[in-house]
Amino acid sequence: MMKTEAKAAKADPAEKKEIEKLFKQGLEAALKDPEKFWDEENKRTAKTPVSKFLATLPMVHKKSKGKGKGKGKGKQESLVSELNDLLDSVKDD
Amino acid sequence: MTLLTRAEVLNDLRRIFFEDAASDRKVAKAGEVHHWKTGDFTKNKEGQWVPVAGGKKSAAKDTKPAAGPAKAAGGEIGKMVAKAQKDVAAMFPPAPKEPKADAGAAPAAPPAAPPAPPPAAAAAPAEKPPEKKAKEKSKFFEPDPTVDENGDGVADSARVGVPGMEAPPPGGVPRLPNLNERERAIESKFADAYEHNADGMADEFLKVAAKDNYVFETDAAKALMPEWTRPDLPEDGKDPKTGFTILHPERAEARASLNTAMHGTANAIAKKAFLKRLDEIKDMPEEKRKILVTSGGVAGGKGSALKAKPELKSSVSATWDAAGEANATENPWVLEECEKRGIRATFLFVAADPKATWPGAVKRAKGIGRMVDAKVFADSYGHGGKNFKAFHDKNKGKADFVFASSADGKATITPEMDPAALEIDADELYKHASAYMEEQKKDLPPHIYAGGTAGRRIWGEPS
Repeated sequence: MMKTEAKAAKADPAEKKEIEKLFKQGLEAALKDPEKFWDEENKRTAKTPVSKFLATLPMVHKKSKGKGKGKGKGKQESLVSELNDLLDSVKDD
Repeated sequence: MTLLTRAEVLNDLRRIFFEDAASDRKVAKAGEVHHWKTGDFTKNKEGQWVPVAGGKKSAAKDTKPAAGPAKAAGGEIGKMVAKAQKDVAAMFPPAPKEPKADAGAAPAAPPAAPPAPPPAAAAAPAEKPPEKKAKEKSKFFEPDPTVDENGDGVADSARVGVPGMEAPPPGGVPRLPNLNERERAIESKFADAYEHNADGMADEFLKVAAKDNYVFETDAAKALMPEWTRPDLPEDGKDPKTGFTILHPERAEARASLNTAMHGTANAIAKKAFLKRLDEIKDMPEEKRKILVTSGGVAGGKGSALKAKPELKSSVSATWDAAGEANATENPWVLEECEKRGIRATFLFVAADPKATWPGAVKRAKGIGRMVDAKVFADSYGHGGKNFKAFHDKNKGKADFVFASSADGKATITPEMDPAALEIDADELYKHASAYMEEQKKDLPPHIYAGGTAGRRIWGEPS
């Protein structure tokens, strides 16, 4: 019961000062060398395991462009071609 | 030769291009209806969520679009289908009074179009007045980022992410309008998986956050998606000079292109995991019942400041490192959840010059892949500062506030919010950021340009 009631909603001034000091220093460092801290995102992401709820689902891939190397697209292109032939033949009729 | 009817040909088209192609990425069943705050949505056969006509029951089973205008047929295939559909339509005279199946509209704004009326309904008198149709379209998540319905002074929602006061479930992950086919597939996959396994995925992310002193960051939750981390690809390289990561080009492409579409679910996961951590903190001794919360515009330096000074995050039991894209709309929620649990919160705000940070955001994308759209970037400055100020003014007796500024390239702590942060106009800034993308286009990888300008398609061009 006691634990869920905070004694004070606010930090003591010394604690707040310390937060301000650290945050300012962090911001200074970030402004000086942003790439260093951006790269930490890459490192963190590389270490993060994929969710087990997503790992087994089929990947959504970007559609390949150009030569129709992608299996799906090749199939679809050929179907479009067939369809066009069909439409042409209907036109002739 | 037997002449096929128009409907038969169009049905074949739909089956060939959409049902077969989409069958491998469905997560929920077609016809499944979800009731969300943003409206009722149903799965269509492509695995996409579309607004339910009439708002209550699934339209997917009753409504079989004749010409598929509801299809997310962006890209080449969509264009081919649209062209073929037009050819077919030209050859078969339309039945009298049959509602026009606007195939040409499909590639432009496919997901927002409600399902077309079935051919069988053609004979029946038109039931839907035009304004109702327009209303159905708006069932996607399209909040006005300035609206404050609960009157707390802080806008209720940003354009991306979940509403500020919510941590779904309950409720679902809002779906964005006007996504292209790939974005919609990604959004659906991520959101569906979360909606079916919310606790499990939040637990997974809680473990991720625990390794970083319990820093909860929406962007970090995107790494739960294999399309983001791409474990199927070889490892990234390393720049021999700087030692920084050189992302595999396909990873970089995915992170730039899919950032916006994944943001809502990542935000929901991070919020749910954060609540779990707050539940743990509430049982800790009082001196440990404290957290930090950061706010500020996109690429303003708040996240980097935390990384640069790990003592900050280790001085508290958790940190909510808000995405700039949230426009500081989550702060009332954080404070409310902390108050419920007797946890002290210190809110930090970083003011920055967005005309300096936008080039930084673009440069950052070259390093980390993740690219923020210009529209949400502009909102983060144009609305974020005002939201934070209103939140501070209302709650300064209930929590601690620290204001910092990185404007002029110098870090300073200020007694109040930098007044310049309140004078930023989101529309003007969007125009500026968008023009910058055009200036830089020729020098940018196409995926960074695409990621930074996706908002033009999703929310509109700068006015």
